Amino acid sequence: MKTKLFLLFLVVSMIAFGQIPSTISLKNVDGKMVSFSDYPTAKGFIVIFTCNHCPFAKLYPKRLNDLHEKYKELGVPLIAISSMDTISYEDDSYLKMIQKAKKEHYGFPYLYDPTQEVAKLFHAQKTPHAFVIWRNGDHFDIKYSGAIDDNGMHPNEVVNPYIAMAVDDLLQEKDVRIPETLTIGCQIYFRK
Amino acid sequence: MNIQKFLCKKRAQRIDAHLLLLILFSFGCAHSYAQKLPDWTDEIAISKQEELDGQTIILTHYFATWCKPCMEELPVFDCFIKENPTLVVRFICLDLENTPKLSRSIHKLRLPGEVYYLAPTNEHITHISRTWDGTLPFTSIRFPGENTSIELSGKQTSQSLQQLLERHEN
Repeated sequence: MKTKLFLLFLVVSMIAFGQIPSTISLKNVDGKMVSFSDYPTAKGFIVIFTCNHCPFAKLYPKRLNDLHEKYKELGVPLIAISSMDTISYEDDSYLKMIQKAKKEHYGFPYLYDPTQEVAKLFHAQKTPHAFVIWRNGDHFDIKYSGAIDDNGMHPNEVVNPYIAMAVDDLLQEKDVRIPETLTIGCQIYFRK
Repeated sequence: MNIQKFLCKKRAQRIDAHLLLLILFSFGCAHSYAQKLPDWTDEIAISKQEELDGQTIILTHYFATWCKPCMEELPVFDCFIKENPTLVVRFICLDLENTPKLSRSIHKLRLPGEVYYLAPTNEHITHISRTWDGTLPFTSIRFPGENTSIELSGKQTSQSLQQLLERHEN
């Protein structure tokens, strides 16, 4: 009982300090469980909370594939997570996630968060909501939170590719220039 | 014969006039159908503010047609504004693109106030409010003679808006 309470206290403390445990494990669209701990050599991760139905999220599949292709080689792979309430949005069901990943040729894991616990852990509020997390011992620290870039509608007119900027800074062992931005998108409604 | 010719000419002229009217009418319709929502620019925001400052309560409501809770909430404003006809109400639409189709679907909603468009790029949305976290729908209420606004994130009810006004009046 005491051990359980201690573990609970540990997780709550980590959440409060923007720390993400590496043991988080969610089901991928290929049916296998995926955890940050499956990537022992990863320096960090680009984590994108996204979904199928949201018009804003629909603007980004190609850009997500490009980010993953570029940064996985540098030790920062991309992981997408859907935490949408599938009762309110049928389009975000696990089955539809599988179809979406196939259609968009996702080269990265697209994980299903049915309990929405992982979204709560990150304080993810919308889709898309992007994070860059960086390894710090046995856990990861949130180094960036916000939008993927500053122009969803027109990829050619992006001035600030926030995610790429944050990862580039961290790879050069610098502080992240812009650690937080405003993100607009579809609200993740948490079931009560 | 001359009379017949004269009548034919008159009829032809009348048909021409009708045709011209029809063309003008079609052009007018096509033009109105091709119209987009007016852009909500910083200049408009400032001029509107100066125009109304200190006179009345200004309610600015941010929404988008892709946002399910926003569309569910819109009828609330009908009821609320009927009960408070002196309010100045503006709806700012944050859809992905400002198209004539968007304008047509917005007009069908018959929103009780002026409707503007704001492109949801980070450049624009950061100007909405310093405290806004990007959640839609978002409502800002500014009371006469006050520099700050009351800001409400998420879906509201007619009652909650009414209570807010009453609380402020008291």
